[in-house]
Amino acid sequence: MVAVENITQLIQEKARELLSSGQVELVIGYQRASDGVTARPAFVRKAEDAGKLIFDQTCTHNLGKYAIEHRGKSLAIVAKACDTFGINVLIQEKQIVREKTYVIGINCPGVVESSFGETGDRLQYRCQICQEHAPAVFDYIVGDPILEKPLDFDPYAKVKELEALPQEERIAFWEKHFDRCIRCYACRNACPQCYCTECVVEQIDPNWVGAPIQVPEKQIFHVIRAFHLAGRCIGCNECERVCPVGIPLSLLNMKFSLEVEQQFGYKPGRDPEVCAPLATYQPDEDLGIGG
Amino acid sequence: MDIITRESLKRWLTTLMDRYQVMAPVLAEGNHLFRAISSTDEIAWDYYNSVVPPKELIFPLTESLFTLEYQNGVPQIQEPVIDRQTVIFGLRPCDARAIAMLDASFMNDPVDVPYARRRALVTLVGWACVRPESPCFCVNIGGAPNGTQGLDVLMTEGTDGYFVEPVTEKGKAVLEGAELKHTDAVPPEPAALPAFSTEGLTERLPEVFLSPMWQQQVEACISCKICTFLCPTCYCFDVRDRRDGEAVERMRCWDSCQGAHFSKIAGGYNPRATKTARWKQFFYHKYLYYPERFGGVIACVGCARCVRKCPVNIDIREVIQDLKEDISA
Amino acid sequence: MSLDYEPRIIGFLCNWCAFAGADLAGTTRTTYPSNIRIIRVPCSGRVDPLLVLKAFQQGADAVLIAGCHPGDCHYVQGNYYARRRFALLRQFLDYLGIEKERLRLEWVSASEGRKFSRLVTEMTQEVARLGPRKDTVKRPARQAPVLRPLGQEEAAPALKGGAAAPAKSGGE
Repeated sequence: MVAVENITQLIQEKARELLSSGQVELVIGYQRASDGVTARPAFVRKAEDAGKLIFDQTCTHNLGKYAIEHRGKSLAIVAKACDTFGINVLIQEKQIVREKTYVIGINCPGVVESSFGETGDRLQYRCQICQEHAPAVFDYIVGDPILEKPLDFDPYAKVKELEALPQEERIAFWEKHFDRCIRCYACRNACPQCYCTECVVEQIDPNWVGAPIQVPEKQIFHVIRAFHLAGRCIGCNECERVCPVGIPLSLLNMKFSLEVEQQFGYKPGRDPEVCAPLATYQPDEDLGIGG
Repeated sequence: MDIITRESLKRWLTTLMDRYQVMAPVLAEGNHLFRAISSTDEIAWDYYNSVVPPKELIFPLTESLFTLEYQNGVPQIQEPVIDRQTVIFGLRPCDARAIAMLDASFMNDPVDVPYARRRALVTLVGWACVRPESPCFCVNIGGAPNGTQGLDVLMTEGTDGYFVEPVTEKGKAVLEGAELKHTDAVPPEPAALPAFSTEGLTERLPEVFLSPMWQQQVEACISCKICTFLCPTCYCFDVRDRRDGEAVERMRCWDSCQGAHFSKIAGGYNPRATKTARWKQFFYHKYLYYPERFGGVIACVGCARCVRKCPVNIDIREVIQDLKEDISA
Repeated sequence: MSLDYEPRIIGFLCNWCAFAGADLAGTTRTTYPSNIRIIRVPCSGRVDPLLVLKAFQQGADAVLIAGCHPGDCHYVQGNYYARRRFALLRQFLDYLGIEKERLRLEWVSASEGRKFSRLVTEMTQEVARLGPRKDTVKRPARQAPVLRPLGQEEAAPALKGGAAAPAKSGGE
């Protein structure tokens, strides 16, 4: 793994400084997990506890959702580059206040695949295809800038491969995966962009989706969640990581990312001044629909 | 004790499939899950434990309770017939013990009819864990990697085959036709697991209900339902009616106290509006409320699915450790 | 193509243009197939993808959303948002196995009665050609399950000796 000890030290020092000066009342970062090898979210309120903060390549979580939970407080948040795109989306959508959120941005070397008690050297797929290792928003930046290397493969290859399959095979593919879904909502709850206090999928009146944990209902849940994230999903892939039964959710969200990029030339969270594509329009555009 | 070779075991299972639906651990896209098998080739013999516990085979994720339909103006209520004899093969002692806990809740007066019907048709043939691994902690909570509680038959893998121990009359009956050979050898002892004690925990829980420790432990929780859905002793469910043309179907499906709206009541008030309150409920149900109601038995079997799969590493063993420190302080 | 297969099409028609256009088709006696079931909405921009998905879940073979021509929306911009939304949704549903032809967005003004009837006729034929849906978003028809009337069975069996929670400790 890439050596990142100095990042840990810098984060701890900054946290101590912010907390003892009273500039923030809470620092949201990472600490070592109970298995001794992976990481988990950390919430530090006293300067003397800053020593538990770490950063290394097991720090996979997107901490943006905690910024929404602690909205209104002055807080600091540790954010990898992808996480900062998410923060920009949340700022744009007025879910967090920029002035009260101190972003400790990380030039991130990438996060490795890990599960409880296990880690290794293999980068997660979303990091293998990443071309933007620098945070898009930050108040303090740590880590050496990463030299971007052009990819020698198409990041959307898996999506296109699935697109190219005949219809029956595509249907069978999704049925096979959604059959295992138990509607635990870990995917939805891990996503910072899913912040609705009452999710439409759990609404009883009107009963959009229905409570039964069966394939049609599960498909609708996943389709509508992917649609609600169209133009907002920043590809952190936490949804796929947290799924207890390994459903390839990235293939859903990346399909929308691909369409949004192709049709509107838009990538969420890079520039908070640019309006998200589904929140705007061009009067004369031709999207191949509407006759 | 009796012993059976892997080949004889497969033959016995194949003949069982004529009379029973056999559910066994299979590998589905990289995940071990219990599924109905039509061939012993599908069995994942080297599995550790399933992601979703075998409770889903007796208490399904979703089931139809009854259907109401008007025929010629007269309401007809019909319920699904549950009559398939089933063998659950390969479950672990922790999961079997958990099923016994579900039995105590569902099968005492008033009896939960669909559960009872399914349960009566199920025979549990379990495998001992010869190499249990941390974070499993069954030994600290009243269980054992080679325990027989809740099982009809226990099999333990040895060097020459599987040691077979029938536990109940039902177990003896299902073994008929299996090529068992007597052996003087004894089943291997399971490897040891790290020890910690849960003694005194239940008694102290009422006093620590308002401790600030809960909020610290649970701060990272995202209120998904993984812990409760993967827990073999959790059994909350929701009942909903679904209209289908002119008929109405009443269904029940798994529900979880970790859902943000689980405890919401008419008028909109939510007594467990915070994730701290909700996670406390998860813990207290297992370590206080169930033992109070059912003779001191803690409704946690130490399978550690919640520990392995929690997206943010809320570790119930850490909570227990913290509570013990609180207690001795 | 079986003669028994009559596709069911759900149409979300905007009140100001498309619905009026459909009305005009009716009053001028221009015929169109009765496969379409029309739901009037204030604007095509009001049509939530959830409505479309719900229609598909309940068994619709195709969904039509018809609104005012771009530039003529009664609410100024509703149809522009609808255009973007359904451009994306259509691609995505195809990816999941619901063919593109099953979701259509069309512009029908209040005076285009004949266009509406031609549109519905053509869409019905196209969807009939596609045949019944093959995807799994559709809720399967309620199985003719093995059912028996409630109460016509002996009481549920209890476990022999009553169910007791397992012993507090010890492996056996």
